[in-house]
Amino acid sequence: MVATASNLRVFSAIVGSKYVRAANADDAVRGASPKAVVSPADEEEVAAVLTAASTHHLAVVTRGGGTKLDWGAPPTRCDLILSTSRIEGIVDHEPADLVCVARAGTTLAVLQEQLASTAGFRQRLMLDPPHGDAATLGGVVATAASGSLRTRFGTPRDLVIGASFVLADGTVGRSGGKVVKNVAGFDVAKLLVGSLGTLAVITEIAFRLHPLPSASRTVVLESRSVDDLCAFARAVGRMQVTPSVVDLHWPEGLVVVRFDSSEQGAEVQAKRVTAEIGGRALEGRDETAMTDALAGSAWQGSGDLAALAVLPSRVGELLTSMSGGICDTVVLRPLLGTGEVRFPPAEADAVRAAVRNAGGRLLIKRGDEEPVGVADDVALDLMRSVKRRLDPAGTLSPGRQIGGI
Amino acid sequence: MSGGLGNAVLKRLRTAVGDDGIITAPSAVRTYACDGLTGRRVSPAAVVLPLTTQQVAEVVATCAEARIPFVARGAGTGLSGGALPVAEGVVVCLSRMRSILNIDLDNLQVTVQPGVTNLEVSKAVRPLGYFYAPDPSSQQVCTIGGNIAENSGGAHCLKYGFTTHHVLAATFVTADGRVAHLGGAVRDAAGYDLLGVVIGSEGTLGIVTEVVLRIVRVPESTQTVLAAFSSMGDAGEAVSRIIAAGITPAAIEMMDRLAIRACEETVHAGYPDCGAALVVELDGPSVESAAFLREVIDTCTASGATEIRVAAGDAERALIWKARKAAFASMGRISPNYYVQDGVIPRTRLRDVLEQIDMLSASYGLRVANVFHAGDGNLHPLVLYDDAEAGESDRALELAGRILEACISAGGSITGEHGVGSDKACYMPKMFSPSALGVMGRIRDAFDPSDLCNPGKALPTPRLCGEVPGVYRPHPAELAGVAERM
Amino acid sequence: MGAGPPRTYGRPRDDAASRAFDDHHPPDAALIADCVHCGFCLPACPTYLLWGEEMDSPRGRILLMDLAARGEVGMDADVVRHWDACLGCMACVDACPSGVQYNRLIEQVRPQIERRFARDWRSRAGRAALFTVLPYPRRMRSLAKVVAMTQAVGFRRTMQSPVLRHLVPRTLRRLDDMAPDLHLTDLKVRTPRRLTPQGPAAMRVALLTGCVQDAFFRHVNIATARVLAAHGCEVLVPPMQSCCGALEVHAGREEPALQRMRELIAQMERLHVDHVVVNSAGCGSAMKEYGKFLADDPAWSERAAGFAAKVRDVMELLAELDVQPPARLQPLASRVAYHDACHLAHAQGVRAQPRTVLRRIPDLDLVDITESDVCCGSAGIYNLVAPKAADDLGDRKAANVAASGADLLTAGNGGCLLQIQAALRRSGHPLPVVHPVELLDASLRGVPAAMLRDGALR
Repeated sequence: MVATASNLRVFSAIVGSKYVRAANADDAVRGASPKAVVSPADEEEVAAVLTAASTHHLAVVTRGGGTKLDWGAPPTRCDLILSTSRIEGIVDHEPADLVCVARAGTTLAVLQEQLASTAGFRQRLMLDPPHGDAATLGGVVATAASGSLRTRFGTPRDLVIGASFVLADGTVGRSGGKVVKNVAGFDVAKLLVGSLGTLAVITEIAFRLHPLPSASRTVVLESRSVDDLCAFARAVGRMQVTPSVVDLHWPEGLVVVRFDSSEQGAEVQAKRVTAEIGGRALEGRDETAMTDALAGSAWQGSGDLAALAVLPSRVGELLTSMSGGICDTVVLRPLLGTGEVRFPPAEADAVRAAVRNAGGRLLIKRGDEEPVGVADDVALDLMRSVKRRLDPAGTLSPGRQIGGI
Repeated sequence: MSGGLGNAVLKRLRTAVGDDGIITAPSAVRTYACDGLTGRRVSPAAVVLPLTTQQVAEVVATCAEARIPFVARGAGTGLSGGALPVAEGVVVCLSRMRSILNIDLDNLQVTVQPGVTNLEVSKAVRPLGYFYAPDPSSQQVCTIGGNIAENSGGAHCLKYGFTTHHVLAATFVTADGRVAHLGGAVRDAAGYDLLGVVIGSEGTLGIVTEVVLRIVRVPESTQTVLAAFSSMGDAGEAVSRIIAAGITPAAIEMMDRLAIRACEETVHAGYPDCGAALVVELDGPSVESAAFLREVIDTCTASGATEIRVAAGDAERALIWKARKAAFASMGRISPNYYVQDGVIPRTRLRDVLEQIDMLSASYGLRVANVFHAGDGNLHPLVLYDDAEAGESDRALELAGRILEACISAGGSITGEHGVGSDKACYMPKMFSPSALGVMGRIRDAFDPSDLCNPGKALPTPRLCGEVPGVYRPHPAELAGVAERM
Repeated sequence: MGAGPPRTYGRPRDDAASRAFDDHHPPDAALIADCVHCGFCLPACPTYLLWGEEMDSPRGRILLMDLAARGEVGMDADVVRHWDACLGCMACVDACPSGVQYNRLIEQVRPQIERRFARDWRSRAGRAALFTVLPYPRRMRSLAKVVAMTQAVGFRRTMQSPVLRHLVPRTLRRLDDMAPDLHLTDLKVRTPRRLTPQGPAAMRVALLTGCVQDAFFRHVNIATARVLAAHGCEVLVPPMQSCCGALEVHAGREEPALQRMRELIAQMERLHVDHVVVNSAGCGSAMKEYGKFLADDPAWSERAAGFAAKVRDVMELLAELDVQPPARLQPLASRVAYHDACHLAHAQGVRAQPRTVLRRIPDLDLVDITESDVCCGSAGIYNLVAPKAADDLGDRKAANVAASGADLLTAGNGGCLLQIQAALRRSGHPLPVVHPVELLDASLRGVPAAMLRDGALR
């Protein structure tokens, strides 16, 4: 697309010229350079923008906080960035129902702040994805991003109860609703989670919330032995305790177990762990210091980065094969077998082989390597079929999904 | 002999499943004419009972090539008519695929065939200290395949989530007879979450033939409280306060006087005669459950509980639950017929929606027993009627429709767990705009462009709402102004 | 799993093709309407467990009754087949939350089939043959002699040869499979006519000697009399008793069954006893319902109800009594698996009492079997007319018994004992099978457990 005056005028007419600008180098998405950035105010404007883009055969990439734009394969075409920065705000928060509805451009940080400060009902959306501060809800959902809290609370897939979205041809869709218990219609929101913006532009999301815990305690095990670390994590998993976080850091050699509960609840559970299987208990400032130090450690530093997953029973095997310096760091949720690995690009083959040998999956977030353990052909075919029906012209982030979808 | 299937098709089906695996006798196929929803019955042309994924694929491929509609069925206990056959179509009954294939305790996964009953899964792993969390009340007979189709919940889904939170992978036969593997025992399958959209799709996208389920640890301690209140309003108040206090019970169930009476006749669990009874279950580490139990008891008392009982042990707890789970079927003891609905409302609207139901029941002159998952606002009003009385069944349907309307107005849903099926498809336009429904239709087309896989379910179709062979008769929902013909 | 129910051959009689039921006690519409189609009965039904088909589940069978009652299906072989396949175990009655009286319904259907469905000549001949022998104690004794003689000459051993087996007609093979080990000496022993307790009699009871019981399990009858006496009962065992009619009534042969019931009532009435004690679950359950069966007969309905009220299963009665000194229960060190006979557990609700009584025996480790509620496949004449289905259930039961790790199996019904024993033999893990009353008798007589296990009990 050439940023001709007439092209930009189409969008200016929809959102106002103030909210259309020519793109610059910073707006590139994995090497694809768009020509313009458009910021619609609401769902209606999104629909109009997408309809216009379709009409002019323009490829659109949606951007929230831009923190995870490099996830996914490079788009085969990128003419326009659709920014959700203006589509923000909490639409509905029913604290007694533990449900909130927010616009997709709201940052996670802003949402959490609002939820935590409601009088009489301090609540939280139990997601702690990387780049949490700047990440928008839409982006978190579109990338299915999660963090340490996944061990207890799951991923966006488990916490989204409804969504509103716009298809490439401007059709507005909705699935789910404001109640957690709801099986009316297809769970389209599930398709959107992790869809990397290739099926629709998400405009509004309903989440289930949890009460904000009042206290926490952390237990840490430090060891250089993969077996010891894995055994410790497994033992925690078998105990009658309910940690929010069980993370394993390698080769740093740490298992971090955190309990979020009442003061008494957290204390008793932490004590139970240290008494029965060991580790060192932390609270207060020490705890905060450790949490801060480890936060997002996988994402810092240079190198390629990938999400990985293996069967929990094969975590030990995987870590052993990833020793010897082929990776900079691995951060896992050992009870689920999921996590991230950061590695020098030169070691990509070794990392891929290690994951493959452990029967696992590897999905690149930062880098150009091929993934490991991708869906089978018939499943890919179904995915292509879904894409064709929802975005027949291939307007939305073409090529970003696996299989070139 | 078998309607319009034709000899060539029959031959192919017989080859696929064997002579023992196909039913065509007219009297026999009639026994498959409905599931747990008995209001509408349609005899299929044939019923096949495959034993393997390959057989299912061959059956589906045969139907697809011959353009014959097919409907998957488990135990036929669904309450929304999701397994209602298509006339001249085939029913693919998964009841013979009922093996537990693998129990992997290291990874907390169990691999099963879709005909395994929900309870069988828990029974298999309970001695090992684990259980399968989604527990619909019909769990001793309903199958995992059916649970997946409906994204079933159950009393304990308040804390543990629904079927979709406990399914990791599925072998899936597509609508044209190919075999796909969705999700995975290893998490985070790449690409679109096809498994996520298949779960809850009510069998309209394909047929699941093998599943990997997630199991969870039996909690250290379980405390069950039975609290009696003089009114539903008071009980509802207690529920709201419990949730607002930040306690997440494993389950909160409520029953009204009528429901309690019926259950007691069946189970004799010793429920008190009261306006409303709450069953609250707390589980988890002992220290947490003990603290929460005290709070729950205090909250119930503060909300006006007339009697509070804590189950003394497993036997008493099991009996309390047996009564609750037998609720629907027990209605047979106090009424010749009943029609159960499945609306959801935000918990905060419990009191006023219950009042509305009361008023509607009075104005229609039909009793409504209320049983529900109070913790997540999922109501099961049981409209009691007598089919032998002229017009009563139509009035019952109408009343049920008005109740659903009230749920939608309160910001809820027309179905929390039973599914839309053939029963509530006409109400979908009240919940979703035409364009939203259109998107769902596109997704269905992506999986089943020929519209052969359980057609006419879940999404409203022009054919479905109110059509009866012969002279057009409007569906009671249309008459009530709650449904629209599209 | 895979195969379906056995085929039924025949055709509707008279106008039964369009009007399945006649007016004499057709299945009650009100009872049919009790069914709300919830499906809770499915997992309890042995035939659903075997075949996974709706038609062979209580829900499906009731639906067929409904269709038949409305004239939408006739009394065709395709329909009768599924009613025939019903074992009559009544597990569904216990499982049903709506209180559907399926047992009543199937009882109403069977005579209708007898009257309105003409079976093919083979089935008719087979059934006629069975009912020429089974309900006649004297003929059963003669049959027992024949069985004992064949076994004495090694017929049974011959039947174990896979080749020779097939030279013998199927029915004979089947009878041999089902028959217990019998010695001619067993048949020479007489059942005492009267036994008095050592001390004062707590009550006066009559013992039903039965047909199959008297022929194949006479030792159990004798043991029953001894045990009752040891518990303070004066026991009367009238000779030449009539058959109780259970087998016939469960097969729908209404008139002959009612006749036998009248005869038995008349015989027992004369004795003026407190209870009529039965050690066969099938008989006991029918006898407790005599009032219902004879409700139409004004001359007999009250007498029948009075009689029925006195009927007790032996284990049920013993649970209320104590062993009278100097008799005492001596240790019987063994691990015994308890099988719940359907007509005891489901029909009479007697589950706890046998267990309570058996647990009084010192050193006896009583264990439950997995799927204890699932029928073993005996079901009256079922294992003779539907051998494959019965064998499948029998095999399932045998596997569960073997898995319990028991040395012995006990069950309160002769048919079950024969069925499970045959299945255990087939599986290659033969175990001794005994009636619970035999365990008590052995304990009272100080018989060492080893003798029990070796099957040398008589």
